[in-house]
Amino acid sequence: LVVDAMKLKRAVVAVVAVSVLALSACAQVGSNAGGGAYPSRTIELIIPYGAGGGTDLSARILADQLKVALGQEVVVRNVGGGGGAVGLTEVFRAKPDGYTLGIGTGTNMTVLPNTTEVAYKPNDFAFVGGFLEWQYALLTNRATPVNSVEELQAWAATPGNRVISSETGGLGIQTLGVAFLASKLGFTYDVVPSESGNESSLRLLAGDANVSVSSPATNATGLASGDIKPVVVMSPSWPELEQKGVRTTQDLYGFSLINRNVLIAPPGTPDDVMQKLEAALKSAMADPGVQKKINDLGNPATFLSGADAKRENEELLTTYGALIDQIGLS
Amino acid sequence: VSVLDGIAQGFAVAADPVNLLYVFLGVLIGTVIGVLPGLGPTATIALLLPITYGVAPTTAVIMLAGIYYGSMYGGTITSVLLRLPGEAASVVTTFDGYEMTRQGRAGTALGISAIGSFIGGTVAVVGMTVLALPLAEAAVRFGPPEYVALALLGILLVTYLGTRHPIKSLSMAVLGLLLATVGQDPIAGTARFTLDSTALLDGLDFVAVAMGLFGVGEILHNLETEGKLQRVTATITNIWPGRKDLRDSSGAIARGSVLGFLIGVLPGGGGMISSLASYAVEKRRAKDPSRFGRGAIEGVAGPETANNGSSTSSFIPLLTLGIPSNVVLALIYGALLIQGITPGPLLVQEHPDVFWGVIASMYIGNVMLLALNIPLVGVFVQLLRIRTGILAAFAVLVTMVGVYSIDNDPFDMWIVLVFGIVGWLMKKTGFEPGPLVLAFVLGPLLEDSFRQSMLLSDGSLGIFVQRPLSGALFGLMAAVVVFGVVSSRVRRRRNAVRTPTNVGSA
Repeated sequence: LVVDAMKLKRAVVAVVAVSVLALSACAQVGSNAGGGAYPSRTIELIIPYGAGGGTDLSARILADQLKVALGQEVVVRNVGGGGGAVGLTEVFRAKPDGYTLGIGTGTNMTVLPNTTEVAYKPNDFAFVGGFLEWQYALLTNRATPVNSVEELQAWAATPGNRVISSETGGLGIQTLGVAFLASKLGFTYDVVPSESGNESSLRLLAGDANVSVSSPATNATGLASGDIKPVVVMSPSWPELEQKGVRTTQDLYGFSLINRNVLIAPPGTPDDVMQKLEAALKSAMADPGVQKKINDLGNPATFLSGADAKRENEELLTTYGALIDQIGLS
Repeated sequence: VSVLDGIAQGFAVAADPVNLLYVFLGVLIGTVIGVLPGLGPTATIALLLPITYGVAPTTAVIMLAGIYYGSMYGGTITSVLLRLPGEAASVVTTFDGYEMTRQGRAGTALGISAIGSFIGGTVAVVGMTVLALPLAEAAVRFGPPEYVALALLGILLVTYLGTRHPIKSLSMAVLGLLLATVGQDPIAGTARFTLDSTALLDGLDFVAVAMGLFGVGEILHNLETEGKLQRVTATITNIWPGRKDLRDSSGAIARGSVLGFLIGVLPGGGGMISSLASYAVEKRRAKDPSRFGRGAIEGVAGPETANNGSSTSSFIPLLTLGIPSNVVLALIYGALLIQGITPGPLLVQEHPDVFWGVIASMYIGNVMLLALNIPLVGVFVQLLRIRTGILAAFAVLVTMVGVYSIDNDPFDMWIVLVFGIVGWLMKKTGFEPGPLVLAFVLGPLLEDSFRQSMLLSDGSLGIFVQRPLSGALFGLMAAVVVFGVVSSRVRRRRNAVRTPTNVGSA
């Protein structure tokens, strides 16, 4: 029996040792010296938000497929903070050699630079291309008797009713949406900020807040059960809601929220590297498996070329800047 | 009846050979990363996410869940042997677990943790099987004011943990709260106490701070008093907890199971509050509270049971409401979404195989962990036979690698070293790192929820008593404080009569 116990111990030690080795091998970041044709070593993809959110998960799916398209490891690193500004700053300052890439979003590329002093110039980034477009709607909960913008306007104007908006912390694309509607419909509101999209949806569901500009990913359950109701679609489209007769702000006011996730590289990244990256992004996005996985997270996977993404970003930066000045957000 | 049908179906799914293999892989990886200080379940699950794309959804979640609750078992080991808490939930274990090691009872401490974890985990799975749906409904009502109450309760318990000097623990708790404010303001986003450094914008990392204060601080202290530990641990004899140990801890394990299960259900509630609450309950119930912090086995058994129970029951809000209560569960949520499955109230009807399969796999996983950990206890205890100098160097190396792996940021390694020196100085001057670290974790929860509450109520403090749940919690807390003050007065008076030199503690 004693011998058996010893053998068992040895076996367990061996198993643990091997697992540890395997794990450390998995985690190892290859950094063999460069040289030769791009890419010749591991590429780092900086996600400027924490792990587990919509931007993070879709970027991880993309990284996994870029690895196939580029023939090199693509390692993901989360650098959160500052509403997505901290991570982008790191990308902006990185060596423009194609080995550091980042994810830009509507918030950190078009809204934040208009409201806060950020250490990067969004239009100076090298744009690889867009890969995901978020859908937004102004949502409310079951307890709030509002189903359209007209009803919202009337309800908000009734004494005793207080509009409370649930938002994720910091001034982002969602903040802009609520502020726009409030100025159009003439109501005032308070904000309850949350750490994540999930927590923000929970505040609406629990009734602490009564409106929220939010996306399908964190509201699928509530929308299906009727505990969460749409008031108006705020992205250019959200087909499932429009089929049920929900109006869009594009129809009503000629305005919509565009939040595109784009793959970007530091300013001055050489053209030949950019061409390879754009081709890799395009082929990754053409993969039906990648499309399905990203779509299943709640927002549609759509490829947009680097040039188009850059043009759109320049336009939005100006449009949102004017809107922010007009409604006095900054 | 439908619960029985469901769980039977679940076992059919979980007993599939492929799923069995993945449960085993999950709990094994979980144990290993739990043992390695710094490397936690979040980084591991994020890293392994792409692997799950290719397997069936149930299989994927079974493995990821195994990593999560497996890491709770593993985290105990370094806390007990080296005073290195791998995550917030096992900070409390260092208090008495490490003392037991110094007394040559490391095997007993690890054995009772494994048994307690098994019971806590199993009770939580049973509770989840029966109560998942009604509990999830109640958990949604837990809003910002309720979290303020919970965080305040936690901080109240932290100061109560102070084993010797209440004033010293209180001052450490205050320091912990202050350190928690470093970084970005959670609501306005402005930088606070960052000394214009981008590295500090995200605040200080909990793992780096805890590793420094506890682990490196202890190592420095040991090197100074060279060799002492060596002689103590040479006398390890009993690996299995004896009959008396089991009798002493049975109550703690029973109470820890219930506490862990209930606290784990709350979204955002966590392992740490459950282990903290369990420790405080055990110390309060003990006939001789002064044993705590000096190797009381209940102080290990209770919290270890509770944190395992809570890591299991934290799946309830995810599977029934689609609300992940922490980053690990958010990643598991993502893994399910990517597979085309939306966790939520409809999950039980639409994908009963996933819902019940995952629950059933937890029964199996807990049995595997017990089988895996009991023989491992003997192996890990052998670590202490390594010469202090070598073990210390190795522990520092592993800590540095682990901390670096969290964010790939060398700055975190500096934090470990700076807090290591602080921890060593604290040890020399009789201050304890426990209250500091625990308050450091509770600080952001308290601040966020308090400010959210104030925004909700338009600045009126009435919100804390008007809402039934938070009102009840604050009432309970007031009762605890009053009871504590009165009973310590009474005890002091009695002690003063019997032994005039003894000063009451609490």
